Formats: sequence, C-alpha cells, structure tokens
Amino acid sequence: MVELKNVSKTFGKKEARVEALRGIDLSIREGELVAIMGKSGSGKSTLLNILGGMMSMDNGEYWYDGKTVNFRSQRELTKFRRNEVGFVVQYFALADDLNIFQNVALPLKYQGYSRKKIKEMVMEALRELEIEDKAKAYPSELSGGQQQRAAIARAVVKQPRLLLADEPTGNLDEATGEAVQEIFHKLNKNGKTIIIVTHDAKVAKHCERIIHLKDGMVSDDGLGRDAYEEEVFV
Amino acid sequence: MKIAGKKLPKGTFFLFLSFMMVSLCLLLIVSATRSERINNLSQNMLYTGHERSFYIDDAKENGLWEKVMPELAGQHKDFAIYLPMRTPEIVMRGVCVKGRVEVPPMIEGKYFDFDTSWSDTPCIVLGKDCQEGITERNGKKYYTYGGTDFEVLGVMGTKEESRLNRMALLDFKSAVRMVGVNTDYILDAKKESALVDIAQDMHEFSLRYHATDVKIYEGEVERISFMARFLSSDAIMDTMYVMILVSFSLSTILVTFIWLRFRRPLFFACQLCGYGERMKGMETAKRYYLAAGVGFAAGLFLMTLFSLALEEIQMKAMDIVQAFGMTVGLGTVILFFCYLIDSRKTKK
Repeated sequence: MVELKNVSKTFGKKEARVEALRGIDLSIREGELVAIMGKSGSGKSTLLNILGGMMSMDNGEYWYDGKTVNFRSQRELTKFRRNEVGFVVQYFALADDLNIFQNVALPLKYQGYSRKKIKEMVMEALRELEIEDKAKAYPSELSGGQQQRAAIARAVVKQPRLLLADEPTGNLDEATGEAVQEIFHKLNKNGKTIIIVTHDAKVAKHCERIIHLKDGMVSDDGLGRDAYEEEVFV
Repeated sequence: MKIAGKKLPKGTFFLFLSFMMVSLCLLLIVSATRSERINNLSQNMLYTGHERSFYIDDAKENGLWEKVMPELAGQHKDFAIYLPMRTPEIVMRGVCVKGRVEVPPMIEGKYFDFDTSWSDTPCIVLGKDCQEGITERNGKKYYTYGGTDFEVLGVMGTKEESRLNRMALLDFKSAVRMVGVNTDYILDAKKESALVDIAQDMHEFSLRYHATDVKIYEGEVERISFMARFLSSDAIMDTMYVMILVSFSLSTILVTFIWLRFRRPLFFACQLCGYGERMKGMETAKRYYLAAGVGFAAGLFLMTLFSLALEEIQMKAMDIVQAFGMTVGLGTVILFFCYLIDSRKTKK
C-alpha cells in the first residue's frame, strides 16, 4: 500500500544543516498496525509527515497504491491528504471555538455532502469513539482522553484507509493512553492501516510491526509484537 | 465567553470591538465630510473656491459661444462656466457644465450635465425655496421666467437654511440670450491647475471668433499648505476623527494578528484534514468578515443613537454605503497584510 524508496529530507543550511532522513526504504502493507520508534531527533515525525503528505521530501519516491505521490503539486498533495489520510497528533489540534461535532465535521466540509449526511457520519464516528454525548461540548470542557477520542473521530470520520498518529498518547495519563491504544487496535481490526509514531515501548507493544529509526535511517524493521515482547519484556 | 450557547473566542470579541470603533469613526468622518462639503458649497454658492471671473467685451458675433463652447468641451473635462444674472430676490445664473465640478445636493430630479446645460431646450434647476410658480404640463414641470418656459430638471437644496435653497440655475444658452454675450462670467474647474489651461484656450478660441477682448481676472488665491490645513482650527474635528481612525486601524492590525494567532489550531486542524490554502483562506475570511460585519452593524447602531441624540450629526443612506465600503476595504487590506505575515511566520 505504501512504499518509500530512498527518501531523504534535510532541514537548514550550511552549519545549521540537519539530515532528518537519510535514504529511507520502507514498505507497509494494507491493514498493518505499525509503530515507528526512535529517540528524539531520529526523524520519526518527519517520516510521518512525509507519509501523510504534510511535508515534501528532498529525494526519493513515495508510492501509494501503486501510484507515485506527486509532491511538486500542492493541489494533488492536498487532495491525497484529504482523501486518503487521517491524522492524530499529540496535542489533539482541535479548534477551541468549535464544538466537538463541528471539529469532527471539519474534514467533511466542502466535500459536497448534505447536512443530513454529515450529521449521520459525524454521529457515527462519535458513537464509535464513545463520546456521542459530548457532541455539543467544547474541547476545553473535555478531559485529555476525551479530546484525543474526538481527534481520532475527526481522523476517521471520512473513512481514510491510512491513519497516522504522532505520539497519540504522549499527552495522556497511563490509563487513558491504554484506552486510546485499544481504540487504534479496534480500528486496525476493522481494516485500517495505522502508523503510530511513538517513543513509548508500551504503545509499540500493541503493534504488529515496529520500525526503529536512528539518525534518519531505519535501524531495525519487522519485529512483531511477540518478538518484541520476547526481546524487551522476557 | 459563551453567547447563546456558542463559544465566542476572546480574539473574535476584540476584533468585533475594533471594527465597531473603526466603523463608528468612518461613519462620523463620512457624514461630517458630507455636511462640511455642503456647507462650503452653500457658503461659496456652488463655486469650488478657486474660480476666476472673466468678461467678454465687444464680441461682434452673437453666436460666439456656439463656436467656442463645443471646442472647449472637446478639449477639456471637468469645468463649468457660469453667467451671473442680476435678479433682485434670488441668485440666478446661467451654467454650462462639462464633467464633474460641484454638484449641489438634489432634493428631487437631477442636476445639469453637458447635454442639458448646453441645450436649445430651456432648462432650470431651482432651489428648494424657489418652487413657487412651478406648473405641470404633460407630466413635466415648468417654471416661467422672463417670458420663457423652462423645464424644471430638478430641485436642489438642504434641509436646513442655506443659500442653495434660494438659487436658480438656467441652461447657458438661455442665459446668454437674456443677458447678451458681452458680460461677466465665472470660470470654475475641478482642479485649480486646469483653470489656466482652460482660460488660455478660451482666450484663443474667442479671439479666433472675433471677440476683441476676453479678460481673465487672476483673483488672489490664498495658498495653504497641507499641514496648515490639517491643523487649522476649522478642520480640527476632521483631523481628530482621522487621528482616531488611524489609531483604531492600527489597533485593528494588532488585534487581527492576535486573532490569527488564536486561529492557528483551527488552521492546523484544517491542514490535517486536507484543506488547501484556498480553503484555509476561505475559512479565515468567513470568520473575519463575520466579526467585521457584526462590528459594523454595532457601530451603525451607535451612530444612529448619536444622530438621534445630537442634531449636528446627521446620517444619510449614502454615508452608510460609503462607510461600509471603506470598512470592507480597510478590513480586507488589514486581513491580507496580517494573513500574509502570519502565514510566512507559520511556514518558518
């Protein structure tokens, strides 16, 4: 489904030049639940942003469903992001002057859906995330876990095939984090391809595959949950 | 802050306040400027204030203007030639207008343009207090003067007492027929600099058509610098309004920056949801113009209260339209400027 070939990305110039990604080769199949791990500055968030079409790459190729993603056209990139990808980020990125219903409905705006259909789709997503009763509440009135559920609802409401999450539990307590991981697991069971960037081993243990990044390169790939548990927890 | 169950962000509230004050200022400025213009027009009796008088002497040919005027109109725009007539009770003048010079406030009908002021059909524009004697025939109004029936083009004047109310303007040809070609005239133009060119051409054309003398009196015009005019006592209120407007505009720029900064989570959410720059711009503009529009409505409401309480402040529908246009223009410039800077900052 997703294939990266020799992808590199550099930030800054001259002395301030930082090579965030150095020749990444990666292949992710449909329906996989993948964790990308690594220390701060290893390039995991940059990789996720490139996968989601939020950031351009300097070199390399990005193949999605057998077609190259054209990073030169902002229009195509936006369309790709709109149609194929759902994003969840650490600090939720909910608009504080919109209520939960309006926040979740945001990706459906200007897509030609009727009001009735939007309401249907949003309420379905909220129901799935068990925050249906919070539709009229504002983000500031919800707990961190509820806000992250709302952010996940917003990411899945348009039914994207690829769900990208950047430190989704980084801003949550342990119990809430566990609950959010369960949601990802459930979504994956329902057929979503999910890529989670994390530095938390507890989050990664829920994933079938773990990709380790080090200094902008893949240092380890393919450890499944069982193998990971064997290596880390046994 | 919640209003009717909906959350109103602080930034939006401040933006609303800013636009309310900017709109109030603009409404005050526009209505004050209009009042002042009409006052000046009345005091100067329709002249711009930099008009020149001239006379034609010993013109042997009665049809002098028939030859000079079309040539003058062909070469110049925005001028007026008045022919003052000696009438005991009201101020009466013949007028030929090309383009826009000074247009009096009209109560009904329309003012002269070149076709009606340089016409073979006798026409008249009457002051509000000179309407006695108007008769109606075939759906048209007529006013009889000097044995001629003049078609009434319109009625000019102001609500309050003014000189304009007791004036009457005739078409130029009728006035020349009544007074004769050898008489005193007033030349007026929109721009003072254009007066000299028009006068020179008029002199040349008149000589060409056998007038022995066309003399232009170069009356002394007091030249006042922009700063002196800006700070003069009679303009101090306008100056103050402008200063207040500038202050509020600057504060609106600041508030817009703050407002955009508070909108960043929304913009980021839009980006995550796959919105392009165009959609982001639309979302921004929609929210911004809504706050600005409600601000304008509140400013208009305050201004209405002021005009009900104070007789000096009078607002016309045209003032509202002008102030609205200016508010939209100012708001658009501010939003464009702030959006551009904020976007660059966000990208960095």
